[in-house]
Amino acid sequence: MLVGGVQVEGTITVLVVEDHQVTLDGLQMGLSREPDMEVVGTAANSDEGLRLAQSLRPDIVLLDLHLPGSSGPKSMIQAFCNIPGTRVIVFSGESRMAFIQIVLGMGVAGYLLKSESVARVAETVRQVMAGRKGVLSEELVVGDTKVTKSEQEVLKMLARGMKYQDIADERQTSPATVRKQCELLLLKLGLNSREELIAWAVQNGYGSLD
Amino acid sequence: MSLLDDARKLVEKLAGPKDELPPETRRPPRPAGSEQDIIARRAALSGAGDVSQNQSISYPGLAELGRSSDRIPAPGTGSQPPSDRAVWRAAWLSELCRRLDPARAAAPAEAARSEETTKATQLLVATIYEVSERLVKEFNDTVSQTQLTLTATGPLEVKEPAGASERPGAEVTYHRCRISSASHSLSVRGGDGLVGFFVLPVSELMLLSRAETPARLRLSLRLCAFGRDTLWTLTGNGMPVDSQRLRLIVQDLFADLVLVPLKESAQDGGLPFSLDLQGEKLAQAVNQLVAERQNLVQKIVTQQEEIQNNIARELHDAVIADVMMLKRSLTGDRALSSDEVTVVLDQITRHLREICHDLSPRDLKDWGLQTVVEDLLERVSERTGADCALSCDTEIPDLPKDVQLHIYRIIQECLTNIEKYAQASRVLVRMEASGGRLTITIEDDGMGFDISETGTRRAREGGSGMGSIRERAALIRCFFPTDLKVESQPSKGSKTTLAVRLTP
Repeated sequence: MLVGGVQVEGTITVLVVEDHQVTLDGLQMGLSREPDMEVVGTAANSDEGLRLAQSLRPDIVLLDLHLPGSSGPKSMIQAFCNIPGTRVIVFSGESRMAFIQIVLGMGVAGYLLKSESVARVAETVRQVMAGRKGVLSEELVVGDTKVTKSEQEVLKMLARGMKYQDIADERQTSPATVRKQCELLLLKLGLNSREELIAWAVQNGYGSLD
Repeated sequence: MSLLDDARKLVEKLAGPKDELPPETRRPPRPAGSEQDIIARRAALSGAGDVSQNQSISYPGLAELGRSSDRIPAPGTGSQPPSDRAVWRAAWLSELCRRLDPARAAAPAEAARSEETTKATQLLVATIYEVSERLVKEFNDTVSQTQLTLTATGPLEVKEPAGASERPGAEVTYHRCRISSASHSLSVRGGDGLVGFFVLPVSELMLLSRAETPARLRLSLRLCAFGRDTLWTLTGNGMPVDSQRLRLIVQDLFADLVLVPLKESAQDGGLPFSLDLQGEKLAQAVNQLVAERQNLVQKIVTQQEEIQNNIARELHDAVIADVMMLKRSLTGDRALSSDEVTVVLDQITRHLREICHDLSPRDLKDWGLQTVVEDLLERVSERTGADCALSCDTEIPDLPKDVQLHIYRIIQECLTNIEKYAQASRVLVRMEASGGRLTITIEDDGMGFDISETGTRRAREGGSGMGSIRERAALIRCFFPTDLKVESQPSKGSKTTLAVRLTP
């Protein structure tokens, strides 16, 4: 079946785990209207959600970040990500990059802000089913408008061809910190690799390679 | 009879001692630690005299009493304990109402009344026991001398032969509990709306009814009925007793319990154990500790108030105005386009987030120290445009959550100070864990300050300065040996170093 320009096979099964009733109803109703999707279950807390996910094995779990239940967000996401054959899309109001970076690092396939429309959620579900990883709300890919001073400094040094270790020495921090900052920059800029990041820095006037 | 006459009589009744009590319950004169002393001291310590009735201040001390506070049938012991004056006023008004309203004053049937009285007495003794038990635990945690260790017994219901004045063979039911040291006991006896506190030698516990002589009665509480309301008052001056005061009274009696053997053995010409403090000095030390605790409580209360004020102000200034505007646009004013509404909603969301983020220790629990500090720095950077970075190479070891919170708040406070005063272009937070030590430095290249005057200057300008940072460090010290070092000079930036030794 060709839906929204993406080739999908059969119906995509979705489990929605969300404790805000109105949001849950909206998602359930909206997604059920999509011809290629079926909401196979809903849950309002993480324990129930996990139980359903394990028994139903849906293709996609649409997961709120802060849910009532016995575990915090980190261990909850880990548990959902460990279910074989199920991909997780987080649907949350949390917009702080430091936290989102951790969530993405745990292996979720997408991260959408709660301000997204159902249509955008459905589109993301399809993209993830088609194999895309790290699908983000566009609002989170901020481009260079929200690059902090600290990141600008790092970009300048990257553009000059400096290695993580050199940058760390220059900035009196550690290579791990620099690597982390670069990963966050990739997220913010919607890029995929260090090479792309260096190219971006050069193109955007942060310096040159010579 | 005029209302004024009535009121005057009432004041006399409540204020003056009254001779309607059986003689054995009358409190003997006691030089120190009498209820007036306790109350005066409490007022002096907590500044209760300054607390006006309509200020909403919550005392953590009351929450600590937990259930007990609900049990004491005193007026005004709701979630916000009133000042002394408020308690007085409540009692006074209640009595006034009773006098002015004969229907309400009609005494309940004798049997029902006596049952109620018994129930109230039982509750009070149970409450005293709960308070004591907690104090005993606190007390035992602080002393190492076994002679000073206390034990709590009770609460019990005991049938005892009545005194000689009653019919022979008659029995009285008492509700009792007891706190004992190695040599003395604080015996609490409750019966028929009267609860007495006796301090007596442990050796005489077997014959309690004889041991509880009037001379050993430290003080007693009496159940007063005002119409349908009931109230425990101090016998002697009728001062109403709320849960806080009850705690203070019990605390004071504890001091007695510890002091009696000291005094007696001092008379015998020797101390049973080696302790530098004795007699009056010990009493002073105990008082000082109580005073310090009260001051701390006061401080916490003030801080809570400050935080609540800040939230209220931020909500009011930033959020409510926007919400009202949206409402106006829906109900008559110029309708906003959906784009405009989206902008306003984004703004509201952003403000609410800022408010939540500043407060939420949940983030710390959910994401860990490193991540929340990263986020903190990112937001400081957004607001100030400074180059803010976290340098953290190693895994931060698992710390008790209180310690994590204190560390987080110290960093937060430092960053707030930097943001407010430093005009820094570079801020670096470093976390290093090695060799059983966790070292955290917060550094900036801003204006710096003269360390000697920061406390006072910033306090005056409304900032919390270094004070709360030092307090937090002191609190971490309850868990681990901790050093806090603040270095700065005008125009040379500042550096705060917190070093926590995790292994002995």
